[in-house]
Amino acid sequence: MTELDFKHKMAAHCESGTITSLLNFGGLDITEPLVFGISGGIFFGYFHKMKSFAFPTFIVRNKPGQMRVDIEKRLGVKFKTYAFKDPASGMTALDDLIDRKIPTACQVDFFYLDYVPSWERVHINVHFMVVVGRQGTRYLISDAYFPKMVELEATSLQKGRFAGGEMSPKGFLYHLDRIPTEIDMKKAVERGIRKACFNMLKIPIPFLGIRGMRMFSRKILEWPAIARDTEHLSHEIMKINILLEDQGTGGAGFRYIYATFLQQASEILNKSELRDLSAELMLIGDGWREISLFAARIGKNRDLGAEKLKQLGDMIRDRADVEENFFRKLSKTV
Amino acid sequence: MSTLAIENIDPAAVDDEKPLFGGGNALTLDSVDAIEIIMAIQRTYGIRINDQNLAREVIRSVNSIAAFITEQRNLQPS
Repeated sequence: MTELDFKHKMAAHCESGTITSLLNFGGLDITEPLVFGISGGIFFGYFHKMKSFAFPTFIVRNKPGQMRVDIEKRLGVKFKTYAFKDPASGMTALDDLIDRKIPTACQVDFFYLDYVPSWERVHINVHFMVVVGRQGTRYLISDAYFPKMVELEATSLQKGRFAGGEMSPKGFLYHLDRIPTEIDMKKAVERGIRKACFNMLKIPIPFLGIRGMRMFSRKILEWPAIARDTEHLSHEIMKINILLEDQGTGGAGFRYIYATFLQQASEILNKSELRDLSAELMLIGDGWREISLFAARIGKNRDLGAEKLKQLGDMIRDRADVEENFFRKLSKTV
Repeated sequence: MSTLAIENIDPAAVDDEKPLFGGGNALTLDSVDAIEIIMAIQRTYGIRINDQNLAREVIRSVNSIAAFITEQRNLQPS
């Protein structure tokens, strides 16, 4: 098997984990929380009526793919990217890169990764993993979700890379092109924090950032009128748990991973107040986890009366209040 | 078992080594149970599992949960 000297590491999130492992392979000593924080990955957005979504939903991180772009901007590193219309050319290009011993990140639909237990497989078109070797039709994969390297057949990999639907991967590949000789890590960390604070406090769109959280807390009371029936409503309410705790969130809607970033940032910037804010965000994350649990319970028990939804809305509004206060304090540190 | 409000399964019938998720054990749990267990570990032992991929490994079986809690308690200053 063509196999590279690639160090596999489990990560909290597929996109930040993939970028981190490629940078580490290139010789840059950087952690996953730093990649997440420098890219300004923490976010919130509520989408009540959007063509792309059949039912209201929310996001707790920036747009998939954006982390790579923002890391390039702030660290000065360069990734080379490729997209394909034709699956055969997409697979040939990947083989060529692996044969040249270049670890290559792929965007795939998670559902086709047959090394994932069947009960965990769902259609998510924005999963990222690194191909690090091949032999015949078997590929060696470093997938941040797993403790060890895994193998995948070419047919499954091709299906995953060329799945259709919303945000289809189109065979997207990327690999590290270059790392500058000097990186101003302090400046990168500060810029990442400023970007996160802007996104959460000042972005002039009413459904994004803290304002988005408040909109979510109000609009969730309208969900029963939008849902087809109780079963549908229950499914959508339980999805709150999935969006906050599953799908590579790192836990508590990315709040824990950002807290770890702030802890590491406090050392890089030599600012103890960031360590205090890190501890505060861990507790804020615990509150999001309580929301997950509450939503999961009322959804599973079909206990979805107006009173329960109001309680859920109040819990979300409370997170908006504490996060507004938190990000105001954070914005004053840089 | 009480945290998960499971009343119809004898705890002795649960295989400590077999996976708790995906079938194959007397007790088959789902994603709601997963968050219940994670929160119960945090509340009971003060151990926050702040990485959901680690969480998936930890709550794989009764033995993996026990091993994780033991390991974390040994790490905590006495």
